[in-house]
Amino acid sequence: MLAPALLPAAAPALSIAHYKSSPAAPDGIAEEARRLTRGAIDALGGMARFVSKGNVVWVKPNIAWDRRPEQAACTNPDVVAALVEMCFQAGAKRVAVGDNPCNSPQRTFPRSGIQSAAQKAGAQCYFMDERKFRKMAIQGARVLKEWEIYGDVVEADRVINVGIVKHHSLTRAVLGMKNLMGVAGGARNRFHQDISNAVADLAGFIRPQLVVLDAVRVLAANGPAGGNLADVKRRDTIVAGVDQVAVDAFGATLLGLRPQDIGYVVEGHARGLGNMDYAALSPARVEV
Amino acid sequence: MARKTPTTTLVWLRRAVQAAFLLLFLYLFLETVYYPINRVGGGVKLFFQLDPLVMLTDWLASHALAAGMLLSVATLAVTFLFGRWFCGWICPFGTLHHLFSSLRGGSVKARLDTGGYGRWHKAKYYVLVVFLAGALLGVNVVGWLDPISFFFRGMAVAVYPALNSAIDPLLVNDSLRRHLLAVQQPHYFGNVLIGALFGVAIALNFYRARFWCRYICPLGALLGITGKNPLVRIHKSPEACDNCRLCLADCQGGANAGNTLEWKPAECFYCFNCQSDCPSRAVTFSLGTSFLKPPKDSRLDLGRRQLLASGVAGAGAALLFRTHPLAGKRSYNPELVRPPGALGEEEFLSKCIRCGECMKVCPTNGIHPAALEAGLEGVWSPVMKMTIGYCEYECTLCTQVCPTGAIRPLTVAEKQKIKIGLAYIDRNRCLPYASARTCIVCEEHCPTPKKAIWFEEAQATTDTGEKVTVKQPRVNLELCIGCGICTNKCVIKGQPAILVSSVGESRNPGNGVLL
Repeated sequence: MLAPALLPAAAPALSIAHYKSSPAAPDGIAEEARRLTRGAIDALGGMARFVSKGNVVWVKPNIAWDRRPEQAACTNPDVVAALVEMCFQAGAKRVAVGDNPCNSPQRTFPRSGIQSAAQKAGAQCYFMDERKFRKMAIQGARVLKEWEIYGDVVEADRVINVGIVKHHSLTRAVLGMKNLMGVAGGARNRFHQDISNAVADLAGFIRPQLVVLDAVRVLAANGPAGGNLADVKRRDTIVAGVDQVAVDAFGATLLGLRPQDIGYVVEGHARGLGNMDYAALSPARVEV
Repeated sequence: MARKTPTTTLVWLRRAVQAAFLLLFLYLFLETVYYPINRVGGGVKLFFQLDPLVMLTDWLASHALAAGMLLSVATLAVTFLFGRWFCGWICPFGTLHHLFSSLRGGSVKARLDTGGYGRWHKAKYYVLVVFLAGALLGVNVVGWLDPISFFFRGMAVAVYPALNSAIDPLLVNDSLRRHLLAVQQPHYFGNVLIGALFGVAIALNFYRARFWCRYICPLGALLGITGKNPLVRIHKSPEACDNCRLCLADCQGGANAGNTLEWKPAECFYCFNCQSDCPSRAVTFSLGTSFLKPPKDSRLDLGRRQLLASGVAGAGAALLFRTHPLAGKRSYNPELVRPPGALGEEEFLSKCIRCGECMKVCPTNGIHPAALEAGLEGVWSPVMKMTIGYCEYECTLCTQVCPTGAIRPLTVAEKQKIKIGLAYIDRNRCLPYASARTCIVCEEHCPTPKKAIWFEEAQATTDTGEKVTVKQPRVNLELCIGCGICTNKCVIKGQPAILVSSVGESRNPGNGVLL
């Protein structure tokens, strides 16, 4: 993490970019996603705040499901592509995009549109290699005292977590922190037995330098896999920030929930990983 | 070694063609894999479509043929006109045996002693008759010994996974990994037996050259019968021959190649080793124009008693299979969950050749060769094992690759309406029921647009006496399609707390459950 002294004095911790129109055509949505992403990052002070020359960056979208972008189960591919491009513009040496999915990767990577979009933008986007998961001791963890984490993520200079806002029966919402489950291996289905602590453990371990939440489309019901277009709603919003709890706290409101409804947000706040009172951070609001 | 004669161009051409077809087979094998989005490589069924044995048994047993299978009529026609060239030039399994036969070494004398025609050559014809008699009564188990099926299944289930695991730690080049290795290490039930049989089939080449092709192969037998009076025939010039018998030493089929009168056209693979090995060039082949005078020793001489016995054996086995409770629709095995698109059980078994195409292509490694789930008749037919893989909701690959249509082609929309079974919850194992713990991983993964797994909030007491509210999963039988991802992702391994049984499967109306 950058030392606070290096940050521009007025740089906000949270930005919320909203698109004035809500285009229906695929091209229009792609442009919306890219412009919103740029708008949100620029409002934080630009990608140069997070990525320096020569950095290796790991971008972690949600590529968990064998679903198309319009089904809103995976991160919008244009948001991912825009982030990759910005990383390179900021001088990144290498950008890797990856996720440990729920469905088979050979289906989710192409179907989500993320693999081709990321590769087109110059990133490496390969299926995770089982051999690269390493058991790591997680300092201060409540439940995941030792867990298999993807080595490349831990070794990257910068981690950008870019999830999508969607419904989830157990936690009520998949947001940014829960998206970090995709860097864990092993029997992670056991996380559900104490999901708030497990997610907070992961979030406290990975501590991404930048968190972006895609809410161009959100999945309002039957998540996290979805599949029914009637459950997909437009919010035309991209949230970005350095405070992963605050980003998720605001993200919850996009599904009509309160921050305190989300167990891992409450837990993250209690542990000091961030501030669930996102309004106190005076988020920069951008209309694009 | 006495071989001094330079190898003829024709033999080199034959080797090149064999290599090309073997490589094509292996290439198509690797192409039997998921490509974005939801398609497989082109032409992956080709060798099965060239196989008239598959076509004939399928037609006899099910009275219906997938369109592509008619390609095999060309194989039959060529064989009828010119003889068993398929075995010597095209069959990839034959080429594999040829390759290992040529590794066996040994003296010319030893090869002469073991290389000729013998009465065991007839065994394969009886094998064929057993299969055909069974097929006539609707039981089609030819895939056990059909060479293309045997080869593909052995590769898919045993050889490739084993090689994959051997190469995986060595290969660090990402690009090579992506082209040669499986995305995830495949694991198949039954791999040891299938691999061992594959190994034995290969090892037998060290006992007799192309043992499989000479003595076992039912396709070889079918082609032998078809091509026993070919237009391409051997001639030996008695004047040029000095009786060195080198022509017999490397005869692949054991066809008594060295003598015009004793030559067995039904056993000849047209490998042309006899011609190539002859120091005095006394052996030649020529193209005739008439079928009227068959070669002297073209008769198969199988014997009426033996043929009758083989037919009775095949028919008897078929009758036993057909009166097994599973075949008689009197009972259904809950563990026999077939891939989507599988026909009703009786029809399915009359068409399935156990080739392993569906097993190879399944992106989740969910399709396995059956042990006895479908009775003895169904050994090695595809069965879903949800603890290893599951049926991917948006995937139709197995329905695209099945050569015979035992798994019929489906669109994604059609597939998503088919129930391959139904999930049920074992409340004695499921954490929210049995231990008052939260979980519902099954509900999270349920892929139907309106989730077939829902949950009820219920009061429960934890082990420490605390009263908590837990979400207890339930299965909506109307919505559940039996895809098994719930079983696959269940925290409880081995015997998961949510299981899929074949009850409710669309393909067998008798195994339904809902009104």
